Amino acid sequence: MRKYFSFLIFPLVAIIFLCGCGDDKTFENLKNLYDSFRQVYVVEDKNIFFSDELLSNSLVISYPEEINNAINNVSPSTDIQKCYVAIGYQQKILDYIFNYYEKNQDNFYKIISSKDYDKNEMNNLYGSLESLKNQLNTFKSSYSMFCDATIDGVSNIMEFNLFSYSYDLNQVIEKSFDFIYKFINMNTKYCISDYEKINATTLQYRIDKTYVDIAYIIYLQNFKAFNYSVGSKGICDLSSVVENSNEFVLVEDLQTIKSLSSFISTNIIDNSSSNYQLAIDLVNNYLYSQEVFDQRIKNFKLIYNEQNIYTITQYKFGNINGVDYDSFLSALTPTEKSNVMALSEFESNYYNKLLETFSLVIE
Amino acid sequence: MKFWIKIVVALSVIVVLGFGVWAFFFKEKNEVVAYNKTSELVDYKESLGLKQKLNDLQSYDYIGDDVSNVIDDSTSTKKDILNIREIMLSPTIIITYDEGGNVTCYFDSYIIIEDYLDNAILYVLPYLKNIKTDNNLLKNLKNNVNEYIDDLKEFDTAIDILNECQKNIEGTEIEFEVLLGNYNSLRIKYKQLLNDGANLLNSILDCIRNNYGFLKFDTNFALIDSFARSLQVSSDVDEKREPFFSHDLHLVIDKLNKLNNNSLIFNEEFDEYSFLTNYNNLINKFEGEYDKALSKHNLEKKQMADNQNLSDIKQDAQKYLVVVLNVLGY
Repeated sequence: MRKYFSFLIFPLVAIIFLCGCGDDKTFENLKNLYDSFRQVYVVEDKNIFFSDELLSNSLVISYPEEINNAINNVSPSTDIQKCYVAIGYQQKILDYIFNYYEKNQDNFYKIISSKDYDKNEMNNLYGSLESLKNQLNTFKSSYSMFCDATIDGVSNIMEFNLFSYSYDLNQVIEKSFDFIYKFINMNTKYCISDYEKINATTLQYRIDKTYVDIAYIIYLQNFKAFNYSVGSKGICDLSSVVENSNEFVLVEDLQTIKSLSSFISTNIIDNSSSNYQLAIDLVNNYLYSQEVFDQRIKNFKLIYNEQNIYTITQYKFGNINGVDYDSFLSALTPTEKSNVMALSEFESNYYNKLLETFSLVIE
Repeated sequence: MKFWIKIVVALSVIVVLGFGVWAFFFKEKNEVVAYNKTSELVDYKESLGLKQKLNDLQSYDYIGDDVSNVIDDSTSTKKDILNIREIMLSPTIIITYDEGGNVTCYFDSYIIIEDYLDNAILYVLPYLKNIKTDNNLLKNLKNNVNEYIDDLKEFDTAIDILNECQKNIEGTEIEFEVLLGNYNSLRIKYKQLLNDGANLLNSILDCIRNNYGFLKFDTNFALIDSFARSLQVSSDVDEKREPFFSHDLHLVIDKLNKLNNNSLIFNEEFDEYSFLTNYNNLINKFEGEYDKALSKHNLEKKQMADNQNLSDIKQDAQKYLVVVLNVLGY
């Protein structure tokens, strides 16, 4: 009996060992994966998902001219036209995310090779990029359907397709955030020297990170909040997005990416300048609100993921007939209410404070 | 017989092992204990309907069922009852005067302070989610929750007894003395409730700070932290000194109000960044010094804010304390 048992146990142990011992990924593996990730959808020498030649590492989705015009329509009037513009905002979010990678990747690969980095962190970063690549592969069919439906022009199909496409684009955005935040962590930890010191270089790193943070909050509040399911199919309720997400906020917050202002960069290096103190004060305020934001956002994400955000958002924007937001809140238990309030508190207190101080150090 | 003993022993072993396995797998994780315990308390308090009972008592200023039979200030007993009712239930700010008619203190009633306490607990509650905190702090929090629950039960019973008494008396002096005894008892329990509430809020904040390592305060968090510390002092002192410390507590409440109404609480000399960085240093490095300062009389705090009388405070903490006291309005 023992003999039979030993015959059985050896292969079992071997399988367990094999499962536990995957190859550790290196920065070179990561770089190679990024290169193949960029080639996910190339048609006749045209890179569909990495279409900007100047920003070759950024996920910039190209569309046929007809769709491109709809997305960039500056004065949309019908609901459908507005939904296309919202797709444009989703691309803006991707721009903010990949702006960080675009600006930092050279330095990252140069420095990380000489660092004794944590293997688990690199494996996780690699895993998140792999997952993003897979998501982008799945997204190809959604992209084709969206283009075909728009060009064929059957309005009710178009609308459903728009919602479905927007949802699938949200999945790509979600994975992109997962990747970029891991990248930011490693980059900050291993590749940026004197991160705590105030100078033009470190401030620029922080500014690029803030753009990712802004994009993240906009995504959660204005796009992910409108995700829901119809049967097994995910939908992003774009008509609610354009009706209820404060378009002003979207337009204001998703402006063109800016850099550290020259006022700050010139005055922080010269402590004899009359504007030195003012520049330092502005920088200190910005850095402090960023640090507070970074501390609180973990908690915000935790609460956000626990709540039924779609329902809360519907009440918030008065989309549920007969029940206003205050009545909805008063029907909750104090504990439930405190969680919902914490979400809006985060937005009004920490996010807005970050935006306010951030706007004073960029141009 | 031996066979049955074996069976019983075997079954006992199975039950004990089964219980051990169950406890191992279903034991509440440490990370969720603080949040769950405090949430249960908050929802339990709501279920008692204390707020409604206190609001009812606020308008129940007569005896029996006769609305016109209002408790007046015609005797010293009735005066004392009115005085306690004011301290506990006044919807507006209470002002005290010295013999010359000058204002000595202005402060909030217990019911108003309790409202701020409830809101503060609700504000910080979500930050207890999934926290990793020191076991002693967690134990302290659990003890404070249990004490607060006991207080709530006692306070609830005391309100019922008082209501019953006030409803059934006809107005003799002896009856009013009994009623005064009930009001006194309720006031003591209410004060204890506030004191244990402050302990609870402080222990929640301790857990949150411990979880972050070095909590970066924002203005709201800093004022809530100051509120908890000031309330702990004001609800701990004797009745004679209580108005002065409640007056100091009101300074924090006033700042919280201003913050909620977007009114200015900072100025050029003491701006928000300077307040927060000094507050961070004071709490994260010299926490005991801040509590020491808060336990001083109002006049001493004013002197400290003016850079005087700081000898009791550690030298390195003094500069931080001065800024914080100035922003709080001393």
